[in-house]
Amino acid sequence: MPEFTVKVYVRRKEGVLDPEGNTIAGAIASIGYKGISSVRTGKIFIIRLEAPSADSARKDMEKVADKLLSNPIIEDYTVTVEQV
Amino acid sequence: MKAAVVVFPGSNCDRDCYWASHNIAGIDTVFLWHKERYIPPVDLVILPGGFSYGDYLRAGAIARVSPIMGAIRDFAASGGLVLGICNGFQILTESGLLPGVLVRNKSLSFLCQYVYIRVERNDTPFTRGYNVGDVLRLPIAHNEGNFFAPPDMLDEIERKKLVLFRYCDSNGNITEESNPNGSMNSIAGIINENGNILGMMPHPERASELILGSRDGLGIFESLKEGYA
Amino acid sequence: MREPAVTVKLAREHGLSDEEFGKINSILGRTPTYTELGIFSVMWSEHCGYKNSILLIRTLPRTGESLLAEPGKENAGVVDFSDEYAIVFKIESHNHPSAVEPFQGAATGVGGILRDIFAMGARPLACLDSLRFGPLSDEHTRYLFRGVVEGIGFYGNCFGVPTVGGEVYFEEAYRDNPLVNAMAVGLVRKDKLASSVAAGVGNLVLYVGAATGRDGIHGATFASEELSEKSGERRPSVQIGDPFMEKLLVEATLEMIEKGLVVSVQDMGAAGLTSSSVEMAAKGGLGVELDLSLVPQREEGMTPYEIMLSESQERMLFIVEEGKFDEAKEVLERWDLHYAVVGRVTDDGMLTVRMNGRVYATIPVDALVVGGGCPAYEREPVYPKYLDRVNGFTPDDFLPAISAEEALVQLISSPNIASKSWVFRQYDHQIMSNTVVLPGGDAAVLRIKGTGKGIAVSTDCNGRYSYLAPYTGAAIAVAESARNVVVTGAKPVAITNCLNFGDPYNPDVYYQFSEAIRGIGDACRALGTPVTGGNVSFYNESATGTVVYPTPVIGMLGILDDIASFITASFKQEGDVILLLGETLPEIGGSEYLKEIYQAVWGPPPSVDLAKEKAVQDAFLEIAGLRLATSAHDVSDGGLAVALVEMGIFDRENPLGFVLNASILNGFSEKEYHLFLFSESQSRIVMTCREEHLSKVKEVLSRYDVKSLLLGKVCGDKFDFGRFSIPVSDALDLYYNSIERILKGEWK
Repeated sequence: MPEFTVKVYVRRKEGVLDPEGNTIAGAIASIGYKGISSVRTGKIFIIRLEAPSADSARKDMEKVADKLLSNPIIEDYTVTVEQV
Repeated sequence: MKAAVVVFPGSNCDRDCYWASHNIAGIDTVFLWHKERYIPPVDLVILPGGFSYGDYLRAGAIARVSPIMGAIRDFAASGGLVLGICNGFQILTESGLLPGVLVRNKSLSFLCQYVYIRVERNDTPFTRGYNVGDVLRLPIAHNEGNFFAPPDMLDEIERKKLVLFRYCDSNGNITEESNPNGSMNSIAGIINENGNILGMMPHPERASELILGSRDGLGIFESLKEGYA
Repeated sequence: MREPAVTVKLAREHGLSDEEFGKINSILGRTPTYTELGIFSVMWSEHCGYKNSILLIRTLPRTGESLLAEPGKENAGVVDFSDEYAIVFKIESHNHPSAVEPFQGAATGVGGILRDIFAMGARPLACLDSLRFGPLSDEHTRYLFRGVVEGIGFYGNCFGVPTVGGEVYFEEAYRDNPLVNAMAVGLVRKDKLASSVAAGVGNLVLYVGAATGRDGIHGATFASEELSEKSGERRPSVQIGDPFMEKLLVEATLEMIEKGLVVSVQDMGAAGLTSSSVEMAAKGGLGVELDLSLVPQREEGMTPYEIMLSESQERMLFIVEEGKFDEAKEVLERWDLHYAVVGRVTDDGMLTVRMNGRVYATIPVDALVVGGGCPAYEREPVYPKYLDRVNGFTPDDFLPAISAEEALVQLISSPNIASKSWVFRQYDHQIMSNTVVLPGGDAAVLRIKGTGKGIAVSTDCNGRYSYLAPYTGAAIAVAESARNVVVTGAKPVAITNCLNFGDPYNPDVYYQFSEAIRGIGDACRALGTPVTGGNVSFYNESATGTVVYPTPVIGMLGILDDIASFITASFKQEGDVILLLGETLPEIGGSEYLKEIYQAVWGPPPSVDLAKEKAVQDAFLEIAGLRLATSAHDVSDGGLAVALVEMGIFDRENPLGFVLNASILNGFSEKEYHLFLFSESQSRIVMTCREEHLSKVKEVLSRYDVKSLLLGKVCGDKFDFGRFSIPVSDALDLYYNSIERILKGEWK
């Protein structure tokens, strides 16, 4: 079976407060980089797996993101797939 | 002897450090605001525990870039004494003033408990009041206290005898069970080569009075004070 | 922006009855606007308006010479402590948010109660958390439990307040509706006590802290299809806690109060900007006008309705004189806090809400608040039939199915009794360097620097008792929380309460509630501990209608006049004699023993004689004052056997065994032996003393007419119960490791 690299990006939903992002935005300004309007934080999961197709790799990892990697109450995720 | 306790936004052991240093150990102590660019005439700067900037990004990572840290660097370079406790230790490693890094506890959870640490050297201004091999009972309270260094750096730390405290059992034995957070070589506190900067995860300021269950930590403040008597 | 038309249907969707909607129309002399409807609905909600509870709550004893604020008038209760200081404390629920998102729900619960404390000008000293979940064998419960504990730790640890105590119970009744009650205690200089009473017409209304988002706007109040289609936006309603922001807020708030820059202050908690502005104005007999276009907003396109109802966290509202604004600004800017002047105090007694030049609400503030226009209901309590079904059990109805040894082993390994060290070690309980007695015992003890004095704090409630006997259960909650404090050597002085119940319109629930109030009232009167305030949480039910046990959690405050005289629960030295104060009756109903061994919830629970309770507590306090007690522990869940084992292993590093006086057991049948060991009779304390002090102790007890029983001696490395013994090392392992084993899936 072909091998894929799936990247799952998990981040706070639009509109959900991101205190860490806000604090980092302030810190960036304090070291002299102006013009930052917002910083949103998140996590990235880089997963290597074997799957019959890119599509099935995506579908499986979307389920994983739903059930495990993200908290659907406050977080969104996106999934990208690349064949190795 | 005079001391200053730095207050970062999110520092929360600043008052405890002040209390132990000023009221218990009798060191003339002042607070120092993180936006200051100069250190007042003091002999010791304490970086207290807490969650500077909420521990956001990485523990100590944002405090590192605050104005006072430039002044602390100069102060340390000219031989001034610096004591970083818990988050203060994390700020010192983030700043490069001490080697290594403190990563997440092996258990992946916050740990508040008493631990035993063994004094590895007493030829430093921080530990002159102890004997080598003394076992101290101090509390820890942290999420990221797991000391990590790449192999070369760890070798150097050991070779240069920079480890001042190691986690141990109540008899002073270094064991895996007595290492609360997974720190390499059970490291609980290290100094720099010049011996004037100490970073440690356990909280000596919380163990400076019998009524709080231990006064084993007071020796650090007393050692510092005696050196200046 | 155009607001939806207000109809009876929309009012119903906002949780208002047709009568209430009629009342609103007649107060205003017109149909309310959409924003006004939202404001009425939250102010008249159970949470802010105490509709179904206030008339009963007013029957509680709420006065006492040590109380420095009128209960309910300020954000938290205030108790006289020393010449210079007062103690401020309060407990509040965050049950529903924690059921939805346990980490954030619990974290924001802690944040909310801390703001109540520092809004009084007090520096938070300690937190306690009273938690209830379903059975720990349930996977969803473990998820909630882990999340709640982590959330509490996250917030309290970062903020920098020690979490020193509380309780954790696991019962089927809480499976879908966990209870998360957070209590905070603070210290304030009496001359710096802040007020939440608005004053000074023309003074500025100053908004400080986090920007306002759509967080926490009640799902039910938002059901307008039309609105959601038009806006086409997602409206997250989970509140996110930012303890770092809160830390900045506490420092800035206390500094502003210290410098005399604040006329009054209140946190924006439930119902956010609405309740804080309205309550401050109403208490001062004044009005307030707000311009919402000045409110810092985190999201685009927010409506007046949303801004007024948002429950975004870490926000405070100050009333400040115009002449002191510049100085206040300086403090806020130094702490990197956002702020905005969003209105003024007026003399017209009205809440006036404007945005972009248009008026969205004009309501008499008095019409919105408790004691004013907010409805208050009282119904005749009706005795529920279920009480007959679950009561009537007597010790004749059972035969011991397993040995006493097996029962004890099972009890000390059970999640309700086993050590909660897995929980407490995730909380920083020593920060602020005041914690003298760490969590895990009866009450936490904190010294107050510079006074030589200390406080003891505890939370308590056995929901199972309250379910089986609502009056008795509530009275026991007060009695036991007082006893928890007494065994540390502290004198109980006042309570705060968090009343967790189901739907008040359910007659069974209303009966439980009214009986609980009666029980709390009687117990507080008997023990001399007035009620300083608290919180009512109704509608704690699962989607399928399972009602939680009626759970009136009591937060007790005690004072130690000499901090050096504190007592802990662990045995201190071999040879000390062990004495049981109080009487052991064959009261096994409602016990942990019945539930754990027989999976049975059968009443009646133990009775409580409040006069005897008071005598035991007073007698012990005299013994403690004479420094005769070397250790002391309240006898509660699991009875005498569990209490004795706990005393042997509370000091984990220096455990000690004991041997029971075999003569006590003479003539006991097997069943009587079980009843002796596991009965949960109230008003009992186990204490130890040096043998040479025994006669003095007994002399004190006889003066108070308190019965006692010489149980045995502290010695050795096993717990010798006469007919069996267990090694101390086994007990240590079971007591300290059971919860972790269950969480790791090693045990069921």
